[in-house]
Amino acid sequence: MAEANPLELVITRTIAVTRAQVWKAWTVKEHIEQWWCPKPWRARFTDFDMRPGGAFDMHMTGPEGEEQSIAASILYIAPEQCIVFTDILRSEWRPVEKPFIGFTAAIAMEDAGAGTKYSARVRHKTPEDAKRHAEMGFNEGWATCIAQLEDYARTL
Amino acid sequence: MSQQPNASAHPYDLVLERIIEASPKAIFKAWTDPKMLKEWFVPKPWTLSDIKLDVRTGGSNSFVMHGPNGEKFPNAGVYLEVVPNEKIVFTDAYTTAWVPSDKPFFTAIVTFEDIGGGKTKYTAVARHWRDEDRDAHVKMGFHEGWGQCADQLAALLKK
Repeated sequence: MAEANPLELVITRTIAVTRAQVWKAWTVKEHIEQWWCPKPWRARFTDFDMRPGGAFDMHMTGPEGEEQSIAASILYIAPEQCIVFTDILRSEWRPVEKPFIGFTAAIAMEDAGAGTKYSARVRHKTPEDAKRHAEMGFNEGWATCIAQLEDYARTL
Repeated sequence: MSQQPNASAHPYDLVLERIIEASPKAIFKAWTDPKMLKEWFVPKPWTLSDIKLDVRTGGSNSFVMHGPNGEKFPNAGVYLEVVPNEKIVFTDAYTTAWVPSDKPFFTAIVTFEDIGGGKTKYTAVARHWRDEDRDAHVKMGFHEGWGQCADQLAALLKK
């Protein structure tokens, strides 16, 4: 998919689950940990507080024992519609001096027939940050996670 | 005049604390009504123009600061959190919801605590991304500037 804006990465999928199911899979710690990382990576949220200014701190473990922690926070949340989070601020609006990437992700959910149009618009401060994020495998990684989200949300 | 950050403050924080003889409600109004903001938000003889405030989480704020020698500094930011009469959080890390600015400088947390007797404990915390930004803010006159503005705010509300 062509990216018109050099600061943005965008991914959109229509998935066969309702917005209510997506919301539940997203906003309950035990649920989000099941699909947040492309398997066989595993995610654990060390702090999870779904409100503006709330912590969204994740810890990810790879199959070879690789570890990656990202301190992030929720900027905005509108039930069953939208969640915005970033790694440039952590909980209680604390600026992060050296963020993982320096991104702000807006997740949007809209009805699409019996399913949901799920989109992530991820913005960056500089084109270089966006490029680095793309090179880390943004498209494949997020596509895999959305597929995992769909599979998991079906069970809710 | 200048205030030291309190013990719990992060090293990249700058803190201003004042007791103001006005209610939290009056101070909140002075922060959120463009006509009132114009009267106190920049240290005189600086002035403000083109004030636009969309006071809600994710709402934008913008204004232009004018100096006595023709200096002109446009500002754009976003409100991160608004609790009426209690708290306002805003940042220049976003120019509009949720578009990151290329050079985030600070995030401000302003709180209004009712301490009785018609007085409010007014606290402004400026949180920075980097050591050098905190230092630059000190050199720009954070303590004197925010202090003078707090005095102007108190004077305005006394009228």
